[in-house]
Formats: sequence, C-alpha cells, structure tokens
Amino acid sequence: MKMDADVREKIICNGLVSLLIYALPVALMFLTFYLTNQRPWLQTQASVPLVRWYQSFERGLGPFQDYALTVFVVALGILEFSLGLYERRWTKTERSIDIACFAASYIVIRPLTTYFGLKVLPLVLPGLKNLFAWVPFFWGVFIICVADDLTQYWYHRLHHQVPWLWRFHRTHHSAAYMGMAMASRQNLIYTIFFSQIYLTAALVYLGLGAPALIVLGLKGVITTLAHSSIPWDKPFYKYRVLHPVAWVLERLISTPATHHAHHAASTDDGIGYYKGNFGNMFFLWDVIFGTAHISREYPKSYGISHYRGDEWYAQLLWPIFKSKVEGSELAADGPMVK
Amino acid sequence: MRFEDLRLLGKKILVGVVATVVPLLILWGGLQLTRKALTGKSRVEQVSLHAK
Repeated sequence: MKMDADVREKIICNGLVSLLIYALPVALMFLTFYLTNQRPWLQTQASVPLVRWYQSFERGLGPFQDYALTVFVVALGILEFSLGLYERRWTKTERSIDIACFAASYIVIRPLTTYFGLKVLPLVLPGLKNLFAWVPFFWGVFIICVADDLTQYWYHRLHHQVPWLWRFHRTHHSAAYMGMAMASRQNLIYTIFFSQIYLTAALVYLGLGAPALIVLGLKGVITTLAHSSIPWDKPFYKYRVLHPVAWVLERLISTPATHHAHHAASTDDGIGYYKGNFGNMFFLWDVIFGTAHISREYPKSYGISHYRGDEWYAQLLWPIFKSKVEGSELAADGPMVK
Repeated sequence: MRFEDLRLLGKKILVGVVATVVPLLILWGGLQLTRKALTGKSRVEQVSLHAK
C-alpha cells in the first residue's frame, strides 16, 4: 500500500519547518548572548538549585532512585485496577503482551542505552565529552525539550503515516483499554530504535546531562498521565473558571482526552482521532503541524477494530516472529495495512 | 524471517538513524557557531578597546 500524495507532501513540508524549530532554542540563546554580552564558556558553571533539589529528591528515594518513574507507574496501575477501569478487557493474551513489554524495557532497553552512552558514544564522538557543558541550565532544558520530544513526535507520526512502518507500532494500539498496563506496550524493535533516546544520550554525552535529567523526569510523568485511564483533566473542562487553563493545557501537553482520542478504535464519533494527536510530552507539535484534534471527550472504545488477539511473541518481536491469526497484519501472509 | 523482512528492518533502522542524526547536526552546528561567532565578536571588541 502506498502513501497518499497529500500525506507525503505534508510530511515533507512539516519536516522542513521542524528543521527550523530544532534550531529555534539555539538561535534564541545566541541572540540573548549577543544582546546581553554573556559568554558562558568563559565561566565555570554554577550548580543549579533545581538540579540540586532533584538530585537530593532522587537520593531521598534510596534504593528506588533508579526506579522512581516505575514506582509511579505501578502505583497508578494499582489505583486503576482498584477502580475497576480495565473491566474484563485485560485477558490472558493481553496480560502476557503487557507484562512482556514492560519487562523487556528493563532487560533490553536500559542496558542498551547505557551501553550506547558509555561505550559507543566515546568511540563515535571521541574527545567531545562535555563539549557543550557551558550551555546554561535554562537553555539546556529548552534545547532538550524541543530536541527529544519533537524527534519522538516525528518517529511516532511516521509510524502512523508511512504504511510500511505501521506494523512496528501496531502493538501499542492493539490494546482495547487505556492505562498503565499498556503504557509501555510496544514492539521491541520499535522501542530499540527510538530515535530520541539516542539523540538525548548524545546530548548528555556532550554536556547537557543536568537539563536532560529534569526534562526526562517531566516527560515521564506527562506521558504516563496521558496514557492513564484516570481522566485527571476532566475538571478542567467541567468548571468554567478553569476553561482558560484547560485551553492552554490541552494545546501545550498531552492529556488523557487528546491522547485517548489517538488510541480510539474509530473516528466515526467525532471524538476518536488515530490519524493525529501524535504528541508525547508536548501536544504543541500537533497544533503547529495541523495533526491536532481536541474534543474534550473520551472515546467509547479503544484499540484496532479488526484486532483478533495476536500472540504475545508476534506482537513483541514482529517481523522476527509472525502471528498465526489468519488475516492479521502481523501474519506471514497478512496485509500491510487493513 | 524472509529477505523482505530484513529489507524492511534495514529501512526502518535507516529512518531512525536519520531522525537522530539530523537534529543532532543542527544542534551541534548551532552550538558551535554560537561559541565561535560570539568568541570572535568579543575578541574584536577587546582589541578595539585596547586600541583606544
């Protein structure tokens, strides 16, 4: 199946605009330095109170310091279960997929990214460690926010709009429910080649470690809450006094309403919109590139309408392992896109 | 796994590499340019101050 010509045109157009957006934080920093005569590379960097606070917060977590986000996800998951939000949709097959994907991120992804940061980057970029450590903390946060999240937006969008990439991302959308159980549900190959992980690792190697620490913490919380089956954003739409906050919030970051719409099984109700709402931490990219759909409502059903429960190993490792479900997109003779 | 699958994997990895390298080059170039251009400017200013 071929990509529509207008989709291709929009990808190229928006891609070119993105090149300017990537450069924007650095351009603004340049302008600020030029006007204020700052030359931070001539000074030693003072430690930033926010980073100090974050590091002491992490230390305070003791043995959980490397797993703060995981603890948050598990706690939220327990809350979702106790509220009965999964009903009977978390079947044995779905449970196996969710648990295998969750475990894979610890067994494969973490060691892989650590190896990349500690062993591969010094070989690829020798002698360049901390080259940009002079970048002030605020500008570092701005640069990483844009670099990391815009790259993930594109990675995600391309897996939806380029037909031959879709099956690598299908596993994330095959869940008929939203929540912590499916938040890290991905085909392993999709996750291993997440571009933003390597981009941010390279920026950390080049000296932007402290800003990355803050941005990744913030991003983890926002994307987790956007996948949650607890509609924490509902009060913002319900109470008139909060409407101005809602207007900003839903355009700036991913919320349950906008991200659940992306996971909807159908677009027929005017709420579901799996053809857009690709933003992860920031929803702003969708607003800028015209892929946003805001309804302030939640879809009735989630997942893929033609999904018939492919085996966990096919969903985790397609195309290495194929599904035995006849007619499935993941089967050996399956269609590319249904 | 068939040859077609390997080709697909290769294409997919290439997309990932491009999506990583392009922004990295933009940021790299921008940050290097910032330092070099402004260092040059401050040197010129210092030289002109000394000349006075």
